[in-house]
Amino acid sequence: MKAILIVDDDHQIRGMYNRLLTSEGFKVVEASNAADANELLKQKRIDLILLDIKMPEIDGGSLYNIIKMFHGQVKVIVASVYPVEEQKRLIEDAHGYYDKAQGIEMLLSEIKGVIRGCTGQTPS
Amino acid sequence: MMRFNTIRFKIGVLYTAILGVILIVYSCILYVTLQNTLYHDFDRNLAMKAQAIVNTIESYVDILGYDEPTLLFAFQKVLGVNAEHPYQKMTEKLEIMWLRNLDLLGVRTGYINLITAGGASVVHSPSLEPRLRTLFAQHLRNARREKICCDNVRIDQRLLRVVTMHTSYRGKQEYIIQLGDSLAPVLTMMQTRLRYRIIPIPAILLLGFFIGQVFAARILKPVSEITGTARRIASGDLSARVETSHVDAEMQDLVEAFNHMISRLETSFKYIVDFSSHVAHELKTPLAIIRGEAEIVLRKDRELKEYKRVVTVALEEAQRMLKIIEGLLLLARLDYRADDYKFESFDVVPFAQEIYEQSRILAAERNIVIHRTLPQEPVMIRGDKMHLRRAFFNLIDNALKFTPQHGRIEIAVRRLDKNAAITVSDTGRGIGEKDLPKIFNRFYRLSAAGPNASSGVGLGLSIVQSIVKMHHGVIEVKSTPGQGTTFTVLLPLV
Repeated sequence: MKAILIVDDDHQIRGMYNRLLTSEGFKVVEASNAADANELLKQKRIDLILLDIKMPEIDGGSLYNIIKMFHGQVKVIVASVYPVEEQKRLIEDAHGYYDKAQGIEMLLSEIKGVIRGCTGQTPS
Repeated sequence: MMRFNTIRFKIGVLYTAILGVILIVYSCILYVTLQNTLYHDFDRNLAMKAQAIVNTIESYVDILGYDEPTLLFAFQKVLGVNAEHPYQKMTEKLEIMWLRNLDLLGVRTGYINLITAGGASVVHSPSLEPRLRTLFAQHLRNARREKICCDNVRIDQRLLRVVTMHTSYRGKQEYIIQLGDSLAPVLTMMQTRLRYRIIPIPAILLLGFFIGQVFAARILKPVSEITGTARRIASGDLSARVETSHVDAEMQDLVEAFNHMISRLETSFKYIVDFSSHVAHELKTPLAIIRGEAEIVLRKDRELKEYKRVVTVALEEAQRMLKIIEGLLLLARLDYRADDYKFESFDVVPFAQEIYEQSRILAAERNIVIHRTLPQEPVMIRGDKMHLRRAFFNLIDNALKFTPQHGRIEIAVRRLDKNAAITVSDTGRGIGEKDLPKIFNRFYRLSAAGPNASSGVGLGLSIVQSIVKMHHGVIEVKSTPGQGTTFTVLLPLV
């Protein structure tokens, strides 16, 4: 069972994705800020991170660099309300990108695609 | 190339006209002055010649003794006409001397008339034809009044100037001498002068016209630059500015005002763009939640309570979006429509007391105690009570949000130099140093500490700052993480 870490400062979003992904058969953990995310990454085995860009204190971009450096085997999907092209400019080589307003089908297909191992992005 | 309704053309014409008038007037003055001088010299010359003739006549008569025939003899000798006199041998030396002068003075070719008191011409030079004599005679009358005068006499194509001198031989015999000379040299000179004066004038005026245009163009260059920049701006480039380096003082003001206006426009446009993208961005999260929850719940049949939950979430998020939009609209109005404010002078002390009373209720729900510290004397400021009330309630709202149960909030009013200082302080979890500069930014929220924290939209402090600015005041914040935060609003006293 794949483990997914959701990193987002909005607890509604976290709850929603948690419920969705749990019902899809994933093991889900949540973090509301970079510090907590870091802790969880050290303690548990995580396969995929759903990473929000705009967070107070440490923003998603910096956290991404930390993840790449210390947990390079973890796949990262950038999730944000910014459009996908914008996200790609801010974080250049993530495994996947997701615009949060685009609905859950899009999210699920992006997650499945990344886990299967394609680094391509879903068509917008 | 030449447009006739341009300033350049008008200045060119005006400049040329003034230049033309000055040139013409000046030339006329010079011409007339020259003419006067030439005539004056000419007349003096004639008079001198006449006087020389008179002197010689006197010399002759002095030598030979006075009587009428001798006078006649003298007249004739002086004009180079053959004459006889019994004692003419005595005047041989005089004659030789006079012969030398004769040519010098041009007597032989000149027009000379000698007339006795009776008016009849006694002797005249050979060149003085009858017609001329008649013409000369016309001027005799004047000589009786003034001793000497000069007049112009025109015959055929020639212009002569005649001096008429009324004189006498040692008081014994009055006679008149008329001496005329051709004015041709003078006239030629005047004509040449005129030609040299007049001919260049059109060229000068034409040159003046073009130079005037060049100067006008140079002065008006900033105008065409402003026009060019305005066009560039109209086609979308708001970063364009007019150069102010080589600009005359009057244009400098215009150019600077123009550049300043464009900067303000640029700022406004940027603000609008930022604002719009902010709104879009902030509204997407609630929408993502509503959409997500709805999609999730519809994937398969669920229990009633699940549907109820989703609908409740949708409602909450809808309300959140509404708060965002209202907050943003308020901010937009606060920034740009100062006429919404109704200023009045009032005492802050009872005002703060009101806020304190109303906050106590809110605080009691959370087991937080509110204190107040108010001075005894009035503290007068000028402001809009409604907006200030909102600002302070926002601050108290924040204090309540971030202070744990059994914490403490204080409202204080005091004088500080020329300002009224109103502080709202709490014993809440404080704001970190890194966050401190950002807290007044729109949509900036500190990370959620619990359900209360995320009900905010991040606009509260932006709104407070806007209101304080409109009152020409300042808002400051001090905070120690873990201990508490103090917001100080400074408003000018009246």
